[in-house]
Amino acid sequence: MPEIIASMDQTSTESFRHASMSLEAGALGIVGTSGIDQGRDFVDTLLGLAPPDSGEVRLFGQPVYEWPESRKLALLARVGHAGDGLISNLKVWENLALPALYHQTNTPEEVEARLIEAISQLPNKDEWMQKRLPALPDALSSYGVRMASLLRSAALRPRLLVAEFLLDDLEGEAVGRLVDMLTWMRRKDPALAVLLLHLGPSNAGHSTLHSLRPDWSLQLEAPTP
Amino acid sequence: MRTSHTHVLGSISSFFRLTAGILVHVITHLDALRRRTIMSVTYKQICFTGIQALLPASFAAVAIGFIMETQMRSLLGSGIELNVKMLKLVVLREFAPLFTSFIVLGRSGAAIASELAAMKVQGEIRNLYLMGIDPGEYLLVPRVVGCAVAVPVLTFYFQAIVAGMGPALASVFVEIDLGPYYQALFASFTLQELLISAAKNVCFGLVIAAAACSSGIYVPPSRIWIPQAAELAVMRGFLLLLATDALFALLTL
Repeated sequence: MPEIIASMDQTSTESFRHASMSLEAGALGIVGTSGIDQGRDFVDTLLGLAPPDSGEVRLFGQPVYEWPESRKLALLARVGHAGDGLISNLKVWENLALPALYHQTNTPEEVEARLIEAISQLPNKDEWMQKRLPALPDALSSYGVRMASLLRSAALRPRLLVAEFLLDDLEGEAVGRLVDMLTWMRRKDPALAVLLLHLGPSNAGHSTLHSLRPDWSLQLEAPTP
Repeated sequence: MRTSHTHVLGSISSFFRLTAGILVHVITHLDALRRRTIMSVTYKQICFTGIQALLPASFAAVAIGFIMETQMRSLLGSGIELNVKMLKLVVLREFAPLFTSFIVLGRSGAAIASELAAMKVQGEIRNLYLMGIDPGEYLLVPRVVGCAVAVPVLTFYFQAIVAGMGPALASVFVEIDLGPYYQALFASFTLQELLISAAKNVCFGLVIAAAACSSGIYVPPSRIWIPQAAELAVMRGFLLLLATDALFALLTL
């Protein structure tokens, strides 16, 4: 029986009501939300940053929001976060290595090797190595920031990847490259569970993915919060 | 009127509570320095607060040393004992630590507050949390420890320049017998005085960093608060530094 990575049972907050979902290891979940703030509330609730008003939330089988801060953060070390979340005063290279080095699960050499392997999947890898990595995140385009946040997760090798609005408002080629990177990450680790947040109904997000890469089958569809 | 007084008192009490909370958090999380990423941020903070402030501190120290030495000579005459006493008690013990701290407050305090406020406004503190990184460890510990290390070292450097260069420069314009003057000055220091001075400067560093962190990290999440956070850090830090200095003056009476 596959391991349940994250689950919500009849969970309500100010932003959404009676959400239920269950994400297994290796599964892809697409959550359609009506707004960015609502989506962030959903992620905050799922990852234990904000307690739900009612219902039950479990991460890796644990009621994470009830836990003390230190244990909660240790659990979050197994979660990758992709979207627009780079730290503005760190260079892109430092951003990519930050969570993996902070959690000390691997040596700096291993983290560097993983990053180079992930970057080598990109069609413009030389440009990334020479121009983008030494720059500050301000120098990156919206696509660049999202790709960098995916590369950061690739260095961490998480069990769960939460992708907040990763593909929204981007052109087709940029979306294709991000999906290629996601596909590569799942090929490297078939047990990686991905939760993709998408503006609009969930089926629209699934259609986008399916039209780009037909091998991406929807294994779970969470109710729209 | 009463409501306004209550509001001001509430803000002051809230600031003291948050600043003290930051200091307690940092002291209880010093083991975070074992992490390479946090040590790396701490080195950067020491470099910015200490090493990059050497040039302005040197200029200020030379100018203050020269001004104080010439003024003291015109006021007190050429007696070595009185001039040494004045230089040690007024300039080196009180003025130099405060002046160095004001330089650090204006540079690093304002920078820390606006940097943290910007991170909060841009949602980066939430992003750190989502990556399993404790924002208290990653953002506060390096800044507070960095300032607590850099301020005493920078103050010692400032004092050395004031005591060394001030009389030397002033001797070009007024008559000073430099050899006996330096001998009398260095002979007047005791170990206890040096330890108290070091403790005071560490406290100044802690006060600057804690005031800056609390002014930056607790701002409402709106862009207009970024410059205001820097202004608040400087004003609050200035008052807290004076209060800490007064406390040390009372304790060492």
